[in-house]
Parts: sequence; C-alpha cells; structure tokens
Amino acid sequence: MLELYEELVVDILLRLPVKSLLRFRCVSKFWRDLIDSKYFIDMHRQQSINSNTNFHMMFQISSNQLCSCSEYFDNDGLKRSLTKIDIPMSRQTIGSRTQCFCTEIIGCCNGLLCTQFLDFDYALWNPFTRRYNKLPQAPKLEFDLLKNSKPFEGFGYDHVHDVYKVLRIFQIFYPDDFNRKNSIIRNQICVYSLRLNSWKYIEDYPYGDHNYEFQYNHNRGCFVNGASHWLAYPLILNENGFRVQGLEWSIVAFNFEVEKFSTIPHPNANRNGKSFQIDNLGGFLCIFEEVCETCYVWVMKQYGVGESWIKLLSLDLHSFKLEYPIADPDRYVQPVAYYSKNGEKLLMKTNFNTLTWYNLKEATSNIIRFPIKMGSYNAYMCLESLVLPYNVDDKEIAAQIQ
Amino acid sequence: MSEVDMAVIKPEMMKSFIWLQTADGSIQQVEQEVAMFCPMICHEVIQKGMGSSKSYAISVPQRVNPASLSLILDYCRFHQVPGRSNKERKSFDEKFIRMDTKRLCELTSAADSLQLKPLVDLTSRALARIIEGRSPEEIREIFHLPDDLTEEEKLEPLKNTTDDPRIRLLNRLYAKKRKELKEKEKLKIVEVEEDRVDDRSVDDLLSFINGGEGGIIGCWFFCALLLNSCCSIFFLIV
Repeated sequence: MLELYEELVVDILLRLPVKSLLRFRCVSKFWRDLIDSKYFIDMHRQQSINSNTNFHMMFQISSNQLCSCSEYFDNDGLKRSLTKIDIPMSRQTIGSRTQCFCTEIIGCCNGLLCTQFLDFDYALWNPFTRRYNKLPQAPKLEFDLLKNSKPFEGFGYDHVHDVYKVLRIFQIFYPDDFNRKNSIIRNQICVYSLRLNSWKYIEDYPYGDHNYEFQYNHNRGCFVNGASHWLAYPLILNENGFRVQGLEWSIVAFNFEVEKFSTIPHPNANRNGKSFQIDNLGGFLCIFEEVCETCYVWVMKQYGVGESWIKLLSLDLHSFKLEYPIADPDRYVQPVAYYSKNGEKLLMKTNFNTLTWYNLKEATSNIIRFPIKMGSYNAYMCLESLVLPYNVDDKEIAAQIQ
Repeated sequence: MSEVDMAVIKPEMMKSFIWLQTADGSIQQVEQEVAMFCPMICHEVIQKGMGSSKSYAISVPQRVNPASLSLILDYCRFHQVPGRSNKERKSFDEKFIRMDTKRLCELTSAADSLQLKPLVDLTSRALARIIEGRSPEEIREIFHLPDDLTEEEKLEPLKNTTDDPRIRLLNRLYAKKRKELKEKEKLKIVEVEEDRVDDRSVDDLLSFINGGEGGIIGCWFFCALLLNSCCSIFFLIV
C-alpha cells in the first residue's frame, strides 16, 4: 500500500516549475485545491527565491512580444529554451478588427509583470500562467500639461502587507519647451494598490529641500528591497529662475510599504559619461557608468549603507570583445544579470543581438548570439511563479478574468 | 565459538549498539553512531533511555518497513563519518537514490517519520525530478490518487474558493505564520533583553555551584538539567 503523507506531497510539489504545476491541477481535487491555494502560491514563490531556481531571462523584443529563456544559457541552451510570448494586452479585438497597442514593461516583481499601454492604462500580468488583469485607469492629466511632462513609473511589492503597487509620476515642466528653457517642475504622483483596487494621489514630494528632476532615459524605476529607484538631479535654479545642470546627482527611492520618498547614498560615479543608469543586479542596487570607454559597475552590497558600495567591475572596452567598434554610435554595453550561484559571471548586453558572459574572476568573456533578429530591447530577470495578478478576495474581478 | 558469539560476549569492549524493532516484530542491533544520526532515534535514546538492550528495543514508526530501514541505515552509515568531502557525499547521494519510484516514495515516508531531514530533501528532490514531465494519469498511478474531478472541472482555469478543510487549515496556518513573523519583527528588541536575563541566571547558578556543596556531582546534575532545557547554555559551561 503506497502512502505518501500530504506534507511530503506538498514538499515535492513546491520544487516543481509552474508549467508542471498547471498541468497537475487536473490530477485530483486535493491537488487542484492545493495548487490554487494562497498558501501554496506563496510558499512556492519563497522556495524558488530561496533556492534560486525558476528564474528566467526576459527580453522585450517588440512592442507586443516578449522572449524568455531559462537561466545559465550558453549558445546552445539559448536556442533550445528561447520562447516567444505574446503580450496579451497589446492586442484588442473588437468585432472583426484587431487593434495593436504599443506596450511597455514597467517592472517585474515575484513573477508578475506590470505593463503600460496607451497613456494611462496599466495591467498586471503573469506571463507563465498567462493570467492578466487590466487595472482601473490612472488619473489623467490635461493635454496641455501632458505634452510638457515626462512620465516615470515603478512597480513594486509591499511585503509587509502583501500588496502589489504601481507608482506613476508625471514631472510637469513650465512653460512650454522643457528641452531648452528652464522651468519649474510640478509633480503629479499617484499610487495604485491591488488590495484597494484604486489609485490615490501622493503629496510627499519634493524630498527634503530639493526638488528632483529624474533622469529620463531610464524612466522605469528599478525595484530593490521594497522600493523603486531612479537617478535624479537636484533642481537648481539660477538668479533668473532658469534650471542649471550641475554634476550633483542622487538616487531617489520610493518605499512601497510606507509610501514615502527618500534618497539613498550613492557611490562616486560620474554622471556625464556615455552611459549612466541604475539597475537591479541579482537583488542588489547597481549603478552602471561608461566614461572614457571604460565601464564601471557599482553594487550596493548592503542596502542603505553608503560604505557598502563596491566597484564590482572596471572594464576597459579596448580590451573587451565587442561586436561593433568602440566609436560606433550603435554600440552599447550594459549589465543585465548577476549570475551563477557563486556570483562569478556577469551577463552584459553588448549590442542589439548579442549578450556576453563576463567571468569576473578570470576576466574572460563568452559571446552569445541571438538566433533571431531583434531590435533594441530591455532585459531583466523574471521569476516563474503562480502569483495571481489580481486580488483573490475580489470575486467580481476573479469572475471576469480568463 | 563463532565470531558472532564472541561479539555478543564482549559488548563493553566493542562499540555500543542500539536495538531497534520494526513493525513486523523483528529486532536488530545497529551501531550507536549510525542509529543516533536519526533525530527520532536520538530522542528515544536520550529522553526515554530506550534502545540499550533487546527488551528495551526502540519501536521504529510504522511507516518504516524493513527495506527502507536498511536503506536509511546505509545512508546514515555513510554520512555520519565526519571526514568526508562534499564531493564524496554528493556522489554517494546521486547513486543512492537510483531506485524505482515506489521504493523512493516509501523511503521518503520512512525518512520523514525518523525526522531525517537531509534524506527527506534528497528523496523529495528526486521524486520532483521524476514526476515533472509526467502526465496527470501517470501521477495518479504513482501516488494512488482518486480521479475525482469531472471533465468540466479539469478545464476550469481557477478555483478561488475551496471546501477542502485541509486547504483551509493550510491557509489559516500560513496567515498565522505571516502574522507571527510580523510580530517577531516588532519584538526583536524585547527578545535581545530576554537573552541577557538568561545570562545573568547562568552566572548566578554557576556561583551557586562553586560556593555550595555537591562538588562534581552537583555540577553534573546541574549539567543534565541544563541539557534538557537549553543546549547553548550547556556549551557555555563546558
């Protein structure tokens, strides 16, 4: 008589990938109820994070398609595991007509992606279970202000109250031309909570005595340690009321639990080089700069502690294998993920079609070429989880979801 | 005299043995360090003083059949040796779990009842790898599960509510655990102070031993008391 106690069954199921679990919902009533239960979903997510398994590299390759592949890939592994995923909210079929929207991924958290399409529409989506939830529309901005403003978004998780939240900031410039004329910034900030299923305005800004202008080319906040982060420059006005560009810069963080802004101490990096951005590198806050054809990667080993910034990598691009010559305007280098359980290798984006594994210890690199042609893309690590993109308690919403 | 008789006659000079009895009634003796590798057996020996002779053999839980017990003892015999490298242990583990699924399930059950967590982890991982690619029908066969969903229910995307009391219990326990963790965060400062209170009481007790009567016997008695309540304080004295 074969008897495997239920706790042991749970222990085994917790180690399986999402694809198998979705299939096993058909096994029996108990297995289905177990896999759908909040207990199992959260335990499975925790187990994946603790054992560093079930992570995938995700690339957005076009406005309505993603590409995913399992971690630790080499050239062969990439070919085998690369799968295309359609972004469901990028298409809308009304009658016989299908409309395509340009969709952007705002952020990734616990296996949920937050997407943005049109100006004020957002959705939460689990690309592995294929479930998605269109959120109520964010508060609008009048057209006059909208055309003079820059949007910044962040997607995060309040782990204390178990709520997913979306932050939206419009930095509004006066009077008209925000590229040349200097102007005073006003901010419209609102936060969406999945638990409350609504948006609300936030007044806590500017931070301290400075008003900050966020760096625009990286307007998706990077989520680390319960907060979204942006690079920002303190807004300094000269005697004529015009905004002045200085060398000063800061890291502005929005904590999703207390819903407040703060600044994080930053390393001694230079913002005026060819590249300057902030990222989540394997769970750590990371600053990447490229100055005088040398790349520096800084990592904050202990969150919030200024002294814990370390220079992980100092790479002279002249000695590095690049697809395009250094001076080529299309050439760029950017870190993507911080792989291998011993943290030895760094995955870098070195072009539109190539990634490079850089071995930090041995200073060697291994180029990976994409088997399919891709344009410019964003890449990030996404956890494969069963997390639902909507509030389970809300039965009305649950009934509408496919 | 045969060698077996010799071994029985001089027990004090040879290594000591623990006596175990399986559910089918058969009794066997196992080297002490091997058997003590199982937390459940360790507990029986220390807390209840069992296993020292045939008549006081430790009753092994029902889920442990003789075949599983033999496998578990092989596992313990290998891993209790302290000098082995991680590579050796890993290589042993990989060869060890090569058995059919039925045997693996029995072994998982048995290891769990003996509280041998590393072996439970190893066998669970192996079972997860085995069932990962299987179809629901094969899964039902392996675990002897009832096919109690209707065809409609199998196609349903999500079931939010559940009537199953086991799931409701799991959800409740989980909500409780989350709450406890939150409370723990808030009470961290208080806990540190409580530790300090413990230190003081140990100092007090130590001075009591040194100043009072009883000498070595008192010290040992005191140690036995402490072993029962808090292992870390025991190490302080030693």
